[in-house]
Amino acid sequence: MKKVIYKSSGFIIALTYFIGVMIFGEAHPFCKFSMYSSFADYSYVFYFTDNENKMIKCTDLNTTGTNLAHMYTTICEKNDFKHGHGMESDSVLHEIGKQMLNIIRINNLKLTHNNKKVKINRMYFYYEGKDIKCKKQEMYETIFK
Amino acid sequence: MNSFLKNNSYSKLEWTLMKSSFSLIWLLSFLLIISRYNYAPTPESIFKLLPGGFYLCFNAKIFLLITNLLLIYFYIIEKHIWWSLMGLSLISLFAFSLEDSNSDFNRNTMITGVFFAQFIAYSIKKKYIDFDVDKYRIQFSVQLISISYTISAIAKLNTSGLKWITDGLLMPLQIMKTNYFGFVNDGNLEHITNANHIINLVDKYSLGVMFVLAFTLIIELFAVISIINKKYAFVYGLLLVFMHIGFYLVLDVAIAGTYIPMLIFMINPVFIFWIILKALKNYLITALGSNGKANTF
Repeated sequence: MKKVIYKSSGFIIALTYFIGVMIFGEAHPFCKFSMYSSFADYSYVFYFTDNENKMIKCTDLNTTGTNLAHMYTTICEKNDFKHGHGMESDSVLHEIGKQMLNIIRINNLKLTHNNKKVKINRMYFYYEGKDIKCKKQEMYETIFK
Repeated sequence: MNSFLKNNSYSKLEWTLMKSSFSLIWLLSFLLIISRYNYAPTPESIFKLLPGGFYLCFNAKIFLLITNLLLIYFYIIEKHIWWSLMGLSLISLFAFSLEDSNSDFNRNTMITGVFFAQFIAYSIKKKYIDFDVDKYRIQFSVQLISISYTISAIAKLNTSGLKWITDGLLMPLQIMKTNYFGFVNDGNLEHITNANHIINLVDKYSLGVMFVLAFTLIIELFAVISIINKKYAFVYGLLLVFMHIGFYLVLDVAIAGTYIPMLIFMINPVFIFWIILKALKNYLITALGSNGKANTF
């Protein structure tokens, strides 16, 4: 056993981690690092607005734009919603927005946005010919209690 | 500088500086997570194993913080290190799983992975007393970091194949997205100005973009050769730094959980800084000494 460990010590961790990733996929501490493994021909950005339609910075709600994008994908996958290329119907967007704001709300119970209206919106970027177009859609609004 | 690379072993100072920098990054990440998250609304990793809901109360956070600080202290002063590393690995696993369970995927796998890798090195040392733990506690960390980059390249080839390089021409949409992420975070319009500027450059130099992407893919794919020895790790670390700078400039993306452990264990910038300071000090002493002699004459 000692001989095996000593002989393989130069690569054993790399090999074990590689096998772990093959078996467990995306489960911390294993990761496929699949971000940017493809360049999609569309992209989504999510943002918050208040009752006057002014943007609320993500940092004010303890989150980030990247976090919201990941949250969107996670919710779609957990609910088996088909997503991407702007294919989501208004009702699906409404449901996803509701779940996203619920997640944001539970980690913001003590923040200043209590009792304030918060709306989540989506920007959908896509190509029309050679031009990049942007479609803005409201998803869901709620009052943080 | 050259001798530090020629020698395939690591000094106590190198290890201490690595540990200290790494502990600082870990502590900051930990504080950020426990200040942000109380629940695990979209369970991932170990949180998938927990039945029912999860709530991290204030007292539990304080307990975790004190335990973490104690473990970091023992880790740095190299006391009860086996226990410290086991504790740090588990707390790191818990904290980053909590982060993932809030759909906040910051790819901090390397931090937990490095703690586990070092824990394994000390576990082997515990069983076999002549095991070269001074070398392998760092080399194991380098193994974990370098294989992660290779896995990332394999994911690209698996998903897109070599088309990943030509698909890069769709990058403007990603540039738009990542820069808008910056804008929605802090409301700074400069992110959007930056996006338009970079998109114009990408459109203008599309061949150059494909070349850079091919270079990125090759660097990532062969990152695992960093495990050969310390010199390979250092040189490869520099290549990876260039890659990360490119990613940051073009996509406005800096994945701290990836590039910081790489910097610490493959390049060890604090140690390099210390070598430079030492060389500068020696140079000044020599220069002032010879000046002194000249004055005497």
